[in-house]
Amino acid sequence: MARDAMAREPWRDPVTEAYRSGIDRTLLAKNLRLTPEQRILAAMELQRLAEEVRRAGRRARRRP
Amino acid sequence: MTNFRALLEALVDGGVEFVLVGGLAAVAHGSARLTQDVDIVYARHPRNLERLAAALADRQPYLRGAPPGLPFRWSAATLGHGSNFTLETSLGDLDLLGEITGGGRYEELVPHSFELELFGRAIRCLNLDKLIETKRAAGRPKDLEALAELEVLREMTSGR
Repeated sequence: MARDAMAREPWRDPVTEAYRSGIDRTLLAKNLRLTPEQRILAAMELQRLAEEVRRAGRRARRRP
Repeated sequence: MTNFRALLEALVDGGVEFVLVGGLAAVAHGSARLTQDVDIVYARHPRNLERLAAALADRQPYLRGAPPGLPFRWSAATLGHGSNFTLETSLGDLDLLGEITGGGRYEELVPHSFELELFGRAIRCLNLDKLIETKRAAGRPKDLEALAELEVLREMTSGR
């Protein structure tokens, strides 16, 4: 019976499966409430923030 | 930092035929992953190469990571001699792909794409099923987590 159930399930790559548990579905649900344009603008904002953090890190490393 | 909006606008306004693929296409589908560049698969016919060359001519395209001073001339002829170009431009990083693993060339991708309304323009974007297929076909370890996320997104949006 277990074998029948397995046969009905589509094959899933075990490595991808392992990653699935770490996916934050709440973030995805939040993104899905936005329009594609809003998602891209949010990605640009995130990229800007990441760059700012990188710059701050570089400044901190230069400090004696 | 890459100005996704300005890059896409420059391409569309220049009449370039392309399909948005990669990380930014994933973002358009709802991915929460940070992406740094714009990846497109472009049509390789001569008129499109001319349009692509003209659309980016004022954006100082140069081979990303290459030492300065290389005799790289941005032109339709240069595009015709190659296929994939990883570029830096004054608007940010742009990957021009003649074809992609698991998806093929522009003409083969069009049936698996749809028009997104972005910034007042129609931008052709790879659909989620094909995006998953190409990520899987690429088989790069760095894509596995992205692939898992795209599969979760497909589950969350199926039946919508």
